[in-house]
Amino acid sequence: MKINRVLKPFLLVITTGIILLQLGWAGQQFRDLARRKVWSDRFLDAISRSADVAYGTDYLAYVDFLRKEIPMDALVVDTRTFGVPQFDDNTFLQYFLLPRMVVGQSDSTCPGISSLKDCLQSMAGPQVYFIYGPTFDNPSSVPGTLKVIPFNATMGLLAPQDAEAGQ
Amino acid sequence: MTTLVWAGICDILILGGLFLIGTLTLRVILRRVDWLAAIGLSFGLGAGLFTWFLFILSWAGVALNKGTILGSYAVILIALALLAWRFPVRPVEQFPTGKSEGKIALYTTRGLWIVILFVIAAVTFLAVGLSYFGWDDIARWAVKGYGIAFQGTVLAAKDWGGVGLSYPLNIPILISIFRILEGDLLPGSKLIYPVFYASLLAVCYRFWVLQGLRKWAASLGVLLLACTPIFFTHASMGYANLPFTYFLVSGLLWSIEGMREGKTGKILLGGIFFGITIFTRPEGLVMFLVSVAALGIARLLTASGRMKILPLLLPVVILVGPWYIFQRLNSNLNVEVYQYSSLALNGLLAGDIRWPALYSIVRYIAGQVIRFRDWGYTILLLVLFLFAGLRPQDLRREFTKSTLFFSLAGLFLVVFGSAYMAAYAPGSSTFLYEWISTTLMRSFMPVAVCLLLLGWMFLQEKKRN
Repeated sequence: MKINRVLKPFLLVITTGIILLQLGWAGQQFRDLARRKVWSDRFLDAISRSADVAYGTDYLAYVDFLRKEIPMDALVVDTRTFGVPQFDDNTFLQYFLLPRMVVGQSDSTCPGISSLKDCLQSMAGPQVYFIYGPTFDNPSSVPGTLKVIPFNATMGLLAPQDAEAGQ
Repeated sequence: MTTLVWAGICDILILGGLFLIGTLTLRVILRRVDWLAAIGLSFGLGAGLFTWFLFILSWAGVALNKGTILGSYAVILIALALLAWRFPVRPVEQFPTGKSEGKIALYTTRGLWIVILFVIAAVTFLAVGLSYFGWDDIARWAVKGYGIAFQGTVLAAKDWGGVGLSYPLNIPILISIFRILEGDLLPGSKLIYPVFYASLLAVCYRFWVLQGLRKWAASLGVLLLACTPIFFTHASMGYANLPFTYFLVSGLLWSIEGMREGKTGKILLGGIFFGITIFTRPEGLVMFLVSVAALGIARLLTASGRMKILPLLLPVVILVGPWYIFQRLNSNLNVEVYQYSSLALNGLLAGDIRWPALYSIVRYIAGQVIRFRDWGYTILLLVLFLFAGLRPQDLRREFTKSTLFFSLAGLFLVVFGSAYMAAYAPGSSTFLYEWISTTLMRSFMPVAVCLLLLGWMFLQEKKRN
């Protein structure tokens, strides 16, 4: 009990110091995020804010591009040619493109077809859009009914020839 | 702007509506409730039971839309109100005030709560302002909620978002309520995380005051929990770990209280919270079993309290049984932990112990404890409190401390074991690090809260057991 009488005030002093330190950290986090993200994104909708906070303004621009170019009732096929999960994971992209359905291109998508471009050809349809990334070789070489809508030099969209814009 | 204001009002009404059915349920189960229990438990209880009801409704083939949600809410509300009305009216139970406190202690308590309320306001602002931004927020929880809302059925969770139906649907259905009723424009569904955070703080505060801590000491513990980096961060993120921790800890604390006092209603409440815990994250079942084992061991060691099995297990079976049947019928469990657990079990049975993996995990945990980023210095401090305050004889004399100690040990082993299982995955060394660096620390949240609850009892002033 005697030990406790000495130990309690000692531990309480340490506790107070630690709480102040952690509160300082929390305050700094709050100020940083509130100013850098919440305030600067105040005119954006919830989905766009998600894109910016998660992966920054470039990602936001890409998501905005997709939402603008792809109609609401379209099926989106992710060709998984980006090399980073925020582009290659269809379950992640699904959130940003809702209510559009997003599926990932995989071996099971086109059984028996080894070439990616042949696979895309076989899946093409009036409401089917393909998103491609830097490792997709020469998108303009995909023949037939698809047209290229570039986002930048290496990323973009393969859309039906008679595609209408999205939102 | 008007639309957003309207959405905000709707969100507050949704939260208030869930709080109301939680309060009525508490009243029906306990018959009288102190105000702090009502604050800490109502939202979680109302939300958990209502999402479960919607899950059953949807599985039965009823489409989830505005009409069915509001209609089923009205039915539940009327039923609960009638039940609550049928019981004799008793005055609201006074919350035990403990020893009378001097002016300094009173002002300290008030000052601490003002700071705590500021922290809660800050995380609420961030939660809504930042929208969903973590990987699992987006790819696991929010997108499933939105998919359920879009298709009007819980089966949508199979195709929307990752891991199919391997994760329980409490949080996605909760998110879908906001999406269906007001479009989740703010997004209002992010408000649930600060509310779970505040509820957890209230549950801890009530527990400590009941254990004989002075109010200022209990408030200080609450502030320590509130400003611990991982809790502060998760209060504004959309991960399910914080709600999960809240449900588990509430279940544990109310089971302890019920068993100590021999009150069936409180044990039943604990069982309901355990059931919702399992309906929130996949590891809920194992953690529930560990908690029950801890209650049993403490009961045997201390020879105090009454272990009433039926009120503890019955709600769990009722709440969780349908979910597992639904899951088995509609899903091939493809979540990694299920696959690795069988690989690990086979490996262990064959005597294949991965010592380098064990070393990596221990080193990682030790590194995280002394780094500020996740835990601040909270864990180090609590270990000091634990060594200073817990005596071996407490485990044989005090039911509460004994239960918390064995829960703490058991939950730690569960989390450690789940990390170790990754060592048996194909390509294990790289995968192990990826696995523990993305999941391990947030899985420790229930362990940390048990440590805090137990360690902080060093400041206990009077024995209640």
